[in-house]
Amino acid sequence: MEPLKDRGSFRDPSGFVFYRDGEVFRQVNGPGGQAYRALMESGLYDELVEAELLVPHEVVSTDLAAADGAVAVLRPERIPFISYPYEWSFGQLRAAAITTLRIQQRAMDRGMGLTDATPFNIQFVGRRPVLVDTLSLVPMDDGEPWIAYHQFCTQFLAPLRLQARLDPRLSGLLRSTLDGVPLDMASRMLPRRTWANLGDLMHIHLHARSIRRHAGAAAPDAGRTRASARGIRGIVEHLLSHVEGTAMRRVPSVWEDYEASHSYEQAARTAKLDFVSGWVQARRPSVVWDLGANTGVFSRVAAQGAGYVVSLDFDANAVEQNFSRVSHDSDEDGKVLPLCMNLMNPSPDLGWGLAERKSLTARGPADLCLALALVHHLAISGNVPLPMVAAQFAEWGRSLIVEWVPKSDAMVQRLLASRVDVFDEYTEEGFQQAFSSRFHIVEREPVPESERVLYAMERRG
Amino acid sequence: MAVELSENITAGPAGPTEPGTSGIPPLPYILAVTCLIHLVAAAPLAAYIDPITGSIIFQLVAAVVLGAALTAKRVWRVVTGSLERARTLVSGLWNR
Repeated sequence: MEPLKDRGSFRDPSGFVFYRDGEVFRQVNGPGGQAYRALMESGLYDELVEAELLVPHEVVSTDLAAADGAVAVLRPERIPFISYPYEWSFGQLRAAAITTLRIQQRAMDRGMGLTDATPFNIQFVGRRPVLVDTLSLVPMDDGEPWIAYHQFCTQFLAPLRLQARLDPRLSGLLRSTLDGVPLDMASRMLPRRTWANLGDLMHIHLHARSIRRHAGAAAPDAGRTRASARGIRGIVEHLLSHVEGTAMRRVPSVWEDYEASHSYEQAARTAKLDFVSGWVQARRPSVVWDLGANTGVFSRVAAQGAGYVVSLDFDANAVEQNFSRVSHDSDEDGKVLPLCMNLMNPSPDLGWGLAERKSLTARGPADLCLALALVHHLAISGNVPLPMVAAQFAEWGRSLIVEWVPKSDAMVQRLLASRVDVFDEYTEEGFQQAFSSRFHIVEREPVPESERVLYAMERRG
Repeated sequence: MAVELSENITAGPAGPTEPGTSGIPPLPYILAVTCLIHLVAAAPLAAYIDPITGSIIFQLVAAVVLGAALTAKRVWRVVTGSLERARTLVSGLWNR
């Protein structure tokens, strides 16, 4: 089978990612060979892999190269699900920033450094952020300015500080500013009192002023310009303490308390948990997408039988709680990935040629989708007709566990309280009809002590 | 760890280098702060913006300030560590 070059891997002349026979490879080209050799011979690779900061790889034959000019071909460990910074909660972006800085610190101890400090080079394996761009580690002389400092500030620090000081929902800003938040913009958006914070003052406000002040000047040769080695370390260490000291601003959200405020009883909850658990244990899906996962209760149940669970919710607080639980829960270590995703407006294809960053749909389908207590939000709050909900779910999952919530349910009544009921098609019969055109209904189980019904389905075709 | 690469590259020396160890006297620190203020005081806007120039220049000055801070922090740790050890020693002798 012909190799397929990753359409998002084209900026770096030292190499690129490609796929062959369903496996991921990284080709190292001439310019990257020296840096790669330095990485391996300095002991940095072993150190970072041992610390679980860098994705491990094995070297394979250059016969597998996807193009001419290969000096090495690497087969990195596969990341179960590729996610992007605009899909991460505050805690995930913060964890990725800390990982980047710790890598830079360790690299500087071995005469190397990161040439890129972008969150797109970090991927999560469950709760653990790892650097995936092996070729971004290059030799760096003592005292050489950190070439990725500006990138770190725009792509990590500014979004984090905006979320911390203003609103965690500003994470969505990263979807429209893929190169990060311009520092002058961040400086203007941050409250005036942040000028009294040394970290914000140095790395955002004064940094932005300096960029503006020298915008027309010729760039100094970063390879020849030197500061004190301790000074560069001081910058990295100061950034690290600033990021570590950044906490998310709490903006109240009804969804983070959903687990405590939902309308159904304990018996109904237990029945739902048993249904999901039984199905997952019997089918053992490799990848599960939990749509509208809230704080990830069902994701964790699914993780006990699935290979990997992507736990999607639009509420920043709920996803933050989910990530926090994942980070402290050792049972499903590395198997649950919480992400912020508004299903009414999921991640689209983005970047150069609309191909650099993949849409949610392009990263599927999952073996199983969970859509518990979700359909009424899409159909009634979102005004999406049931056949279109079914069509979308069929694109996202090969099989489906979906909960039917009738109009008589207290939660639906709450949704209908502030709008005219124009949802005549919203009946269980209409639901079955809509979903039967896309799925075979395998199982139907009423939820005890409620009028809700659980369905298990297999996609047609 | 030996790394095998194809022969069409020139592999240069790699490995750790010694970090700078000199302390930062007060004068450069003051000069750096003065430079920092000068760097950001005036803000002409160029039509063709290159963020890297200003970022690298800023980094050179910030390195002096934060390098001095790092040195001070380490000195502080050494001083407080020595005082703590001395306190433990004195209290041990006293108790004896």
